Amino acid sequence: MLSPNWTMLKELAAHRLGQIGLAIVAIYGILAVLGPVVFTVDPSAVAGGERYLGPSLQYPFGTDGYGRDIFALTILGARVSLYVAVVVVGISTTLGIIFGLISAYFSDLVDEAIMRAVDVLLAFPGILLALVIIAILGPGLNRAVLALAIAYTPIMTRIVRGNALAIREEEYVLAAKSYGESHWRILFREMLPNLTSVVIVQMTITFAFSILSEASLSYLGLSAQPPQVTWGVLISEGQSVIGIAPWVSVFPGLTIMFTVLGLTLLGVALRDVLDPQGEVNMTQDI
Amino acid sequence: MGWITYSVRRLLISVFVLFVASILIFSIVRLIPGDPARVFLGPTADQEAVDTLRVQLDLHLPIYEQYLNWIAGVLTGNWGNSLINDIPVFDLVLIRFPRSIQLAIFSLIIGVIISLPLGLLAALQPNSGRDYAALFFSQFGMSVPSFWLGIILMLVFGRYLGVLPASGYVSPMEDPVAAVSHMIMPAFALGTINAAVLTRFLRSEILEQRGKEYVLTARAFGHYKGTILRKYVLKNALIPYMTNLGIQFGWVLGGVVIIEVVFSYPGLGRLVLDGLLNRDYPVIQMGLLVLISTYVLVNLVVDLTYSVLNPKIRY
Repeated sequence: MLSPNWTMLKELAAHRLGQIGLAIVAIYGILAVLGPVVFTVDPSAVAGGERYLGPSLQYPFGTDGYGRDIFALTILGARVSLYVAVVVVGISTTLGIIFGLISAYFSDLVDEAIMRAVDVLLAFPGILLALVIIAILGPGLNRAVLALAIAYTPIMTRIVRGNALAIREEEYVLAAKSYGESHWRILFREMLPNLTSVVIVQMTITFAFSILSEASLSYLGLSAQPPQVTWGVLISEGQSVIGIAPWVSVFPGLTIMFTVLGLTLLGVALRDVLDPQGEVNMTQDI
Repeated sequence: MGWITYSVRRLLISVFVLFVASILIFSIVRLIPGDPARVFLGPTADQEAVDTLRVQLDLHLPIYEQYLNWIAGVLTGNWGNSLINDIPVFDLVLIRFPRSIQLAIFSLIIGVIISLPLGLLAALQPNSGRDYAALFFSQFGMSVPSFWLGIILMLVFGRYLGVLPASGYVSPMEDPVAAVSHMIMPAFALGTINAAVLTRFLRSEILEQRGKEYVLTARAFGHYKGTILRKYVLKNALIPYMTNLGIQFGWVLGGVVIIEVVFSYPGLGRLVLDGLLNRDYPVIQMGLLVLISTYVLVNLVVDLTYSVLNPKIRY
């Protein structure tokens, strides 16, 4: 395990899959951040007379039943997905690092308690844990985000703990202990920096799959509600008119696929560069 | 740790996990902000109806008694009635659960049919064109939203080509051919991600086995490459593959909720989702509990089987 440095950044730039991944993620990032400023669309506005137009130069993704530009809506959805992913990754990574480090460092009772809690949470396959939480909170974008953040926390916890266990007995940690450094300093100043690589790789994967999961939840009507626009909502609306206007569903779906593809490719490349012995766990589509 | 100690410990963990999961699921109704009976009936309902529902849901009892009553009901098949149509939840689940299992198994079969040859082809010639093609498929398969893939399949094979029924369910008892044709698309949409994960997994397992020393030794003894591959490498790679298949089964159980909605497939997943949208708490609770219990049980069986097949593994 190594900490990221400049050499690795150069290696990443030279990594073929990394290049594709970076390019897709860069386009996604720019469109999500700047797109809604350039391609303005009011999702609640109804433009009469231009309903269900097929893809054209003016409307690259066509228009929907309200005459709205699907391309502009997709970009609006990109911003929502960015928000979802950043919050889910932020919360699950922070909690996962705290629980994982504490679990590995203090072992015995604390470890047992945290790991059994992780077992229970991971006993809910796929999206079901998020469904339990939404059953309590009710549907809504922020509630779905919270549900996903909770659902991804045990995965990060387990990964951090596993890797922290391996470095717990390293000499620099033992040395820090013999100096009498505080637990807090040992955990976050000595151990955490050496876990950066695995955490970054896992963050990338969580980023990708939280986008996929939120899309599923909003397709099911459990996340954002119309007129708020998300990729899942767009696909769901498009399904009812799939026979006359397939583009309403097709393009937002392709956008999800390429975004997730870019992120997972980036994850694979990051793993190659940062943590050559590691395996990327790809079964986290929850 | 001996096999029996390991098995007992593993079994106890499963029981513990199910116990805590049942508390969590029981709590769904109790954690809802405000009075669940009022939330369900709406602000305009009269107090009498709310009170009746409170009694029906045991909400007037102390919390531990509520749980004991509830878990006793769960274990004896007394699962309460749907708040929407008053049908016993047990009956609803009994009809729909086998349909979801059927779909889940079918999805896994599709996952195996795709991943077995693809993973094998990729691993036989690593870094070749077909290896990249397999990895390319695998990466796409993991990135495509299953519900969207389902819609696209429906559009192409149901509407444009008209070769498969777009949605619905037919019992295999009534008409086996129609039953299978109704299941192909949902199972494919659900199984693609499994195929993708399993392809990658099988490839890396075979590659790992091929690098082991026993392969070199067998070669030194003059065995043919093909024989070594068939007799040793594949055998050793297929054990973890089967284990992973068990894990995939769990993920499929989570995925049925979404796919059943896409294809209007009347299984347990759709029952849970309709429950969620209608605040039909007894249905939500038992639906989730049945899905999770199945997952825990499958995982238990997989782990125990694996520990028999691979005596080196002891946790």
